[in-house]
Amino acid sequence: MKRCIEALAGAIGIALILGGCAGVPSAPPPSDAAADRVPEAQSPAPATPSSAAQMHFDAALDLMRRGLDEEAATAFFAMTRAYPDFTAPLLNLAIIRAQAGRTEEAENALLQALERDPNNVLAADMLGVLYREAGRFDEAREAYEQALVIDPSRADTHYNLGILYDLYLQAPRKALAHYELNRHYGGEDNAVVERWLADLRQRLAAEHAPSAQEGETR
Amino acid sequence: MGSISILMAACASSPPATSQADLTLKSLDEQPTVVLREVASSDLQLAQDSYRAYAAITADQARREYALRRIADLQLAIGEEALASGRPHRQAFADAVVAFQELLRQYPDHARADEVHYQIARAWDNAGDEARSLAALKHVTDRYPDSPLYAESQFRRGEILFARRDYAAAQTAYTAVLAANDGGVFQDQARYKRGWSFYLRGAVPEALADFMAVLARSLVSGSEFRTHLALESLPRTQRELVDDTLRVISLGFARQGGANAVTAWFERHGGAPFEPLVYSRLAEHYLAERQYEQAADTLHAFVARHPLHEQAPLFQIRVAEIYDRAGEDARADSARNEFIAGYGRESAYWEQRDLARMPLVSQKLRDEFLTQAQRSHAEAQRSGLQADYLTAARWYRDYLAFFPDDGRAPELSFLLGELLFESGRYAEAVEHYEQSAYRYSPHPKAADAGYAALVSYQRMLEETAEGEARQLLLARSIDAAVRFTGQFPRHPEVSTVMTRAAQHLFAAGQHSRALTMALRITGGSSAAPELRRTAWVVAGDVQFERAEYGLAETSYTSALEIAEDPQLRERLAVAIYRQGEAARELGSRGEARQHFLRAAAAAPRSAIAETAEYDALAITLTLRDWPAARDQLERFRMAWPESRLQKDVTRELALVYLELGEHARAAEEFGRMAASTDDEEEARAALWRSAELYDQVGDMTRASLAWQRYITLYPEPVDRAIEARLRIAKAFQSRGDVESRRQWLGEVVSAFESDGGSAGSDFSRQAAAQAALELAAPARERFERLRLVAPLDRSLRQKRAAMEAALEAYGRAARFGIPEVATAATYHIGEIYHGFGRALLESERPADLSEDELEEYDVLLEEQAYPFEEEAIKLHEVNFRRIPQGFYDRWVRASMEQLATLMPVRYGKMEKKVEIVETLH
Repeated sequence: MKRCIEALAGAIGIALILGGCAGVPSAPPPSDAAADRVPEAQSPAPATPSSAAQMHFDAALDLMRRGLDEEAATAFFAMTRAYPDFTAPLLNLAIIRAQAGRTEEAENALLQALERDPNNVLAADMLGVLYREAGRFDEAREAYEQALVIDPSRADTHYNLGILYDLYLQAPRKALAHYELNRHYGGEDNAVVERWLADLRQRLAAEHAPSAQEGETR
Repeated sequence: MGSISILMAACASSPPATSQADLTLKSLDEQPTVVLREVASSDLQLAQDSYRAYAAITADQARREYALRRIADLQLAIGEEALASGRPHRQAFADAVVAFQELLRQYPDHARADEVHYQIARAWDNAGDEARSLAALKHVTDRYPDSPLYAESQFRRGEILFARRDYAAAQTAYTAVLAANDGGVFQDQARYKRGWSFYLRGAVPEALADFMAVLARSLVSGSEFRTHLALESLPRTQRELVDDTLRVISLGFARQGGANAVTAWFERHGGAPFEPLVYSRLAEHYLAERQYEQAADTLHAFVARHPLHEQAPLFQIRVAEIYDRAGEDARADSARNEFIAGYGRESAYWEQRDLARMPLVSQKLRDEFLTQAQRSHAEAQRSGLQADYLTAARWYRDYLAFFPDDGRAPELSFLLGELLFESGRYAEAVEHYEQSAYRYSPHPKAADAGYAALVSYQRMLEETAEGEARQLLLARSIDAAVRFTGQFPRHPEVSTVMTRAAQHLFAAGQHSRALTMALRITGGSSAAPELRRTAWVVAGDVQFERAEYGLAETSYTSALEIAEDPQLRERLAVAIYRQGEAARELGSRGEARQHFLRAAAAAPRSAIAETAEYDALAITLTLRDWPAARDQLERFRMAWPESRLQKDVTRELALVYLELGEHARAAEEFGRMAASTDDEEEARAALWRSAELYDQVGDMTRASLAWQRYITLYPEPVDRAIEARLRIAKAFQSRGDVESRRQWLGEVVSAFESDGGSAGSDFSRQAAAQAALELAAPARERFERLRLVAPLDRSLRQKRAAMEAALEAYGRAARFGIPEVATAATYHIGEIYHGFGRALLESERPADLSEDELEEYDVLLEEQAYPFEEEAIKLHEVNFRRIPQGFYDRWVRASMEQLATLMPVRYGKMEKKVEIVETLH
């Protein structure tokens, strides 16, 4: 650990050092200590805190891209303490954890991000997807809706909420509405969404009331 | 004759003294110097020469007559001096006679001619001329009857005549002496010698009269009689006189006819105080002659004459003693009986007398009573008759009443006790034994008497039946024993008595006294080991009863050190155990446990050891000292295989093994518990626990066996039995025994179904459903394995049959109504249809078809396959529609995945997800 802290003096070595520290499973670095020392270690240098955070973030991103998920997660987690104003590290941490099936950690990271930045629409959307995958459909709906409160024009969220209503809440009319809003706010994959819309309209026409009622109950 | 010579000498000295006195008076004025010189000189001859010279020159006739008398007297003295010093003296005496005769020739009217003749008799006597002497004396008595020398002269004559055996003349001379008024000093001697003179002449009555008179004068002074003892204090000469007199009296009465003569004599002459002397001396005379009967008669005659005389009893018993010497037993007995009858306690003899002042009589009486008592005692012992015993007892009782303060009274009390004991009269024996032991000052038999009393009590107790009377008797005997031990601490049996007393006291509930007694024994070192052991036991028992268990332990231990005894050892264990109980009650568990373990060790094979060891381990359990608990439990199991506590041991051991993490052994114990307990609930739980623990440690064989046993024993409730089956199935699965697992899953299903599902809970239903679902898998796998190959109709038929079997199996699982199972079944059914459709499409084409035919064939297949695909979609959509109802399990997701493939536009929809956030914000 001491070795790690001393190495922090050199700005260039940060990514490697972080990786190294993370790679020592028997002695996981106390992130508190590491984070606290970062500004001090940096203080003799003229670099700004933000640039330091960026460097830190970049190093973590590098780890993530290289598939070193555990090391990346450690780095992002350290950033969440060192730079509490930033939410991006939390989001990436959530992505890594969700991919590993560690839903609860992912959820915590996203909720923390929303706490730090209630207007983080991306966090809200990601939370919706996470909940949907976990089968927590009502919570997923609320998350999406929160995202849409933050940014009603976010096409991807309408896309995702549409799928939620379509397949999981099985409220086709609401699904239809959000697919249409996706289209309205210029979402990608126009052709695909168009086919879905066509299919939905056709089914709604065929099924009439039951679907309508069902959709209304939702 | 010696005595007579002495008397003569005495008389001879008298006249010169008188003459000297005369001389002194008459010649005091004229010849004082001469007289003084004569007296002072011892030279008689010189004195005589002086008188001779004086006579030759003097002209005075009176003075000359006096001088001649002096010359004659001095000549007699010279002769007597020569006689006394053994020199020749005859001539001297002859000269004296001549001198006296010359005096009388010259002065025929000499005033004291009687004296001169008496002196002449004396001179002749000294010169050995008895006849001339006698003649001179006769001259005095004949011529001078009024002379002061008359009685003496007669006496001297009597003596000379008696010596010459002229008893008649002597008797006359003695009588003259007695008749003379001034017989004086010669009276007694003269009467004595006259008695003899009579006696020697054969005149016995006259002789006895003189002798009796001598006795009376010697022994009686006024009215006072000198007793026999006082006789000894008489002057020697008088004593000899009395003695000689009595001897001759005895001889005389013997010649007269003995006792009757004595009695007749006293009757005729009146009684005398010295009668006893006369009778007894006569009796002695007979005894010396071995004439026993006469001796006895003589003594008896006195008793007959004076039955209440002070000495009568002594005479009476002397009679008996003489008969004893003579060997005349019957007469001796008779005499003794008379003695006892005449001088017993109630006799007249004692009316005016005090026993204490009559030591001789008292002693004789004691001897006789004692002899009688002992004799009758021996007789009773010989005959064994009660009457004889009573007689003997009466003797002892009389004796003790007569002589309560007698030195032998303690011993006789004891002997009376012995007698009564021998005759079986134990109560009375006790009375006398105790009297002997405790009433008198210490004596050699006291301790034996005290002990004999205890033996008597013992006999009485043996003869007395249980009851109040016996209790009282026992109490008395205990008191007696206590008293004995206090009084006779050095009696050889005292330890035995103390020990028995301690035991009896304890039995009688007198614990305090019992303890005191026991500790006296244990405190001393003299008691035999066996007794000390018994005492320790009593002490221990008392302490035990008082709940002083520590002390009791010490006592019991001491007893056991002396001799081993299983029962006592067990009692020791109980005493220690009780200490454990006390400690436990006070909350000192560690201490309590120590006591319990000690108790068990004290008597390892006893029942209490079992309890103690168990209690110890119960404490160990509460102390949560698991290793120790295990050791103790295992030891207890080995030590007490038959104990009813074994069930508890099993139960505790199971729990202890659990605590120690020894699950396999715990499992074994739970199994054992299940088999042994009477509590069904417990048995059920234990068996289950056993199975689970075997399961836990991976011993699947035993786990399965346990559960199978459980199912057999407890088919109800169904839930638990079904769970058991599931656990068995799981066990087989873990061992890779698929067949067995399926068999047991089938058991689960059929157990549930056989019950109609009514008794089973949701759990059972779920279990049955899961089992059914799993059991469906093989049918499905078989279906999947079958490929459609030419000839199609045959393989199609097989696959179709397999499909139906699989569908049936999943349908069965789905019918349990468990959603998770239903979703799985739905998925699999969907996939079976899907699979069948695909199989049709992929089926082996007939080899002999042309291209067109083949195309037509493919179309035909697609038409055939299409409904199966439709059916598959329908079934997956069933799962799909379950999503809003809250079901989104892996089978629903799987169905969704299939639907996404089968109907991509409808179901193949994925959210837009961020893969990475690359902007730091």
